Amino acid sequence: MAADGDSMDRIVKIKSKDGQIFDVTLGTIKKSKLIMTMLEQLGDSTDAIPLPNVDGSTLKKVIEWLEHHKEEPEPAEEESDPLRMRISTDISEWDKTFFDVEQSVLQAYILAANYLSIKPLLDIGCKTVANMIKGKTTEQLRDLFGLEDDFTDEERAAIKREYAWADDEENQAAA
Amino acid sequence: MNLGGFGSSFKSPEDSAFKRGGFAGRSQTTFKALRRLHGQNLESKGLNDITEAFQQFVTRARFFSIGKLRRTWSHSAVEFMKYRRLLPMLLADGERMDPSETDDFDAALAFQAASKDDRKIVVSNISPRVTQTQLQSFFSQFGKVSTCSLPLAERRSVFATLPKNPKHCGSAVIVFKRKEDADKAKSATEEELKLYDQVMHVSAYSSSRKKAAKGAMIIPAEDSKDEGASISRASSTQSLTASIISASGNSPFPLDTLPDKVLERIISFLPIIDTIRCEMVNKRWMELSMSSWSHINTLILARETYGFARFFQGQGSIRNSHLKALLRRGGLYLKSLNLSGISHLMNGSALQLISSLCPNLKDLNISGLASSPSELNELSEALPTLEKISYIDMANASDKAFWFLLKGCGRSVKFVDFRGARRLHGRCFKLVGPELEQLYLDGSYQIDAMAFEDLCTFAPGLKELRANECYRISDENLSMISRTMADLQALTLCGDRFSALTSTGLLHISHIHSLTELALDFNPLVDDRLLEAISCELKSLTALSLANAGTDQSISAKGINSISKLTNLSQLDVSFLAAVSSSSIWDILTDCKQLELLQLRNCTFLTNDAVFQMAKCHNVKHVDLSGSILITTEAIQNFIKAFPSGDNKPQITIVIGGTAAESSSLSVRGSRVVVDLSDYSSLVRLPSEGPSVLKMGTSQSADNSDNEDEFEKLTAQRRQILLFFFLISRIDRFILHRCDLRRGGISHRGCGRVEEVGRARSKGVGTDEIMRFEAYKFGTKGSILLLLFHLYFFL
Repeated sequence: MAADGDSMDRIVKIKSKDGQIFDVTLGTIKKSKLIMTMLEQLGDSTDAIPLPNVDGSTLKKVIEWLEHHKEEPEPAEEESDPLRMRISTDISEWDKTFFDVEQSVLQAYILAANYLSIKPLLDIGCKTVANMIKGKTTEQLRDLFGLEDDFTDEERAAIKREYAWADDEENQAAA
Repeated sequence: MNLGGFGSSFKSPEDSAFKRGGFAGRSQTTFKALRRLHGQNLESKGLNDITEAFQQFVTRARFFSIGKLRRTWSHSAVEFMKYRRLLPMLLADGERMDPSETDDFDAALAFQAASKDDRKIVVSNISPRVTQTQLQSFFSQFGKVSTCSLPLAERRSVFATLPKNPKHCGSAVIVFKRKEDADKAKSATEEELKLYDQVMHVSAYSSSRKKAAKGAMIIPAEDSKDEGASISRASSTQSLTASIISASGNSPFPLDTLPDKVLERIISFLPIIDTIRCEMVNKRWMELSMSSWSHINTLILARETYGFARFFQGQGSIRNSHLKALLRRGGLYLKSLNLSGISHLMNGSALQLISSLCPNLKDLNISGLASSPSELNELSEALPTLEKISYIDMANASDKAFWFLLKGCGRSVKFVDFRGARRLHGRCFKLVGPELEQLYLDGSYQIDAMAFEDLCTFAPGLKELRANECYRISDENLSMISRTMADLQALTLCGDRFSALTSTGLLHISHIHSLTELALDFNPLVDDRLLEAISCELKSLTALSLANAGTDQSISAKGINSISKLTNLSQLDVSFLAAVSSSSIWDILTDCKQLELLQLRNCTFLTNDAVFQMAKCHNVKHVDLSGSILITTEAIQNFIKAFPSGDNKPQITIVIGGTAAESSSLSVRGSRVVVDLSDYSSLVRLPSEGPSVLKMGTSQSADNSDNEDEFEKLTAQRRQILLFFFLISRIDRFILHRCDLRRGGISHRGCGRVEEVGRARSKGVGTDEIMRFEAYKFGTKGSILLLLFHLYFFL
């Protein structure tokens, strides 16, 4: 991957689903693994990179996000992540405002981040959704997200048994 | 009822007029029904009981109005008029009704229908051979029957004729004249209800039945209307739920449309409790929730306990079985597991779970988990690649337990934290390898000289050795450490009872050139000679802590002045040193430009000059002047003014409790200096508690004989606040050396937790540490009580 100082100013053209073309610097777009891979394959071609899965308005916002987070270091690979805990509250104020949008737009951001492989953007989007899920009961989750309960009765009974582990053997041990 | 009047009106010309005009407009069918009715009346009962006849008329009329009785004929439409005029009186059952209203035939009927619900019964299981008339006469045995309707099962044919053998639907609605009669019918025995060898069932006409009964009755139009209504009701309930959801601001997020990878990632950000709830949603979610654990490599259970415990029936703590369930899901992926602070309800079998379910662990904290040596052995054998191990405050764990804990993983381990291990002698250090970099042994005062020899032999790569209160360390040990541990960067030897050490022995420290951090708080062996040697040799030293070290005789201004040679110093603690004067601090501040943290508690000879000089040090972040009684408002105000607030510049804290400065006359406007008014040097103890204070440190150690004369050296003032020293030392250790958090907790209770935590932050203790402390504090109330008990025991 070309990553020295000069090449970071190189202009990359990307084309959204609805035909809009955006000019971004390589330094901005480098967080997107998809585009970096594409650039490698395309070589020095100056044609716009087509992104058939992202529409113009979403792509515009994604570029805005990338511009804002340009200076942040490249995220570590999944495997070498030093601490990966179940925490979803570490979202910066700027990102909170960025993701304070309609559900459908949020979904578009997440899908775009997933498609473009922008891990930090995807993570923040996921954390935003995780905060929506947090604290809901199973029933509420089904209602809220329109999910089907497709367990059979036997499975449901098995689940009930499985989650009774809170108070079986240890209570006996305590007694 | 006036029959005479009735008769006279019968032949009146108005009626005839009505017949020709008004009545002609009515439906032909109604006319027919009335004629039929009239004929029946004449045939069977006559007009003796006009009310009853009229009831029958009404019933027939209702049938008739939808054409069921179309084929029956009678004559004399005039008879109808006779009835019709009576209608209001009859229907009202004695009550007056407005004639204009009752002129509307249907309204009158509706009125009557409403009033007769409790006189109705529903009869089912009727033999197919029974006709309506038969049924009516059969039920007359209970009382007079007003109406009896036995609807037909099949609709009439398209030719508007009934089939030849019409079948009824098997159930009927019967209206009695009186409620009592209906009740009688309801309580009738089976024998009484037998008709054509079939026992009929009688039940009350309830509102819930109403719809069914109506549907079974003869009004198809209403039937379909009912269905329509129920459908629209259902749909409106649906839209209501939808609107409730959207009103709460969360219209259903199309989660199911997201790819598995993304949903899995979302779940991986949820706390444990929510993850488990997600498992119960449906199959896809269960699968994703389980696989979301593969993203997780760190589990600090103290952070998760709250929601977790609430989920599991509010038992307030985690048990082995919980741990098992969690590790079964995510154990394979975990690299770091921290059970500290919440482990008091677990036992050794938790270790078996860890060893069997978490083969890839690198960092393990099992502090507080009481277990047998064999279980520790099993754990250690199962985790040969463990890099960090913490087993803090295991006062009752034997030397053997620690031996087995390091038996399997000793060669690979890089970080060992055995603070507060009162029974640890240190044989286990024969098992460590050259990988070992950090070793925390604070408060493990049974560790003997042989253990330190072993460390020098087997772990020469040690970078950090914290041996506060390891009182058995000897001069030879220090000499050996200085020769073998070439990479040692941090050394702490705080404590006041190093019986095997001498001031000369301590001089070996100055040969460890790699040292960047040195703490000798409370160490009475510190003297000018040592300070000078350190200052000359340890040029890379960045943190030096001498609080309460040496004695008033052994440390003089000369020693303090020599500190100024340590130009890389960023943290300096010279609290409680009588030798500290303005001129020496002046020198230090002039030469040590990197100084960020300066602790000058209870430096009674410190004057304003030092503070004026401090105002010129631009790197200063925290200054503690509490108890330095000569400092006045003027100097503090000057200090505050020297640091105007600016963009992105860090805050500066100055602690002025116990100084001569008056907080009310200080102005902090436009400054980034935060003034802390607490006095960390003035915890007052009663003089009578002095002697018991002496015991508290030694209460559990065998040798307290040589402490008496040492104590005699202390000034009277010191005697008073010895307990305070003790506590402060603990706070300091908590903050500076990330010492045992539990003791920190105790000290905090004495000194105000909030300030201390704030101060700890300003001193650069990681938030993680503080969170652990917080988690610990909130996680287990029982342990806090235990700690308080501990404190009382000390006192």
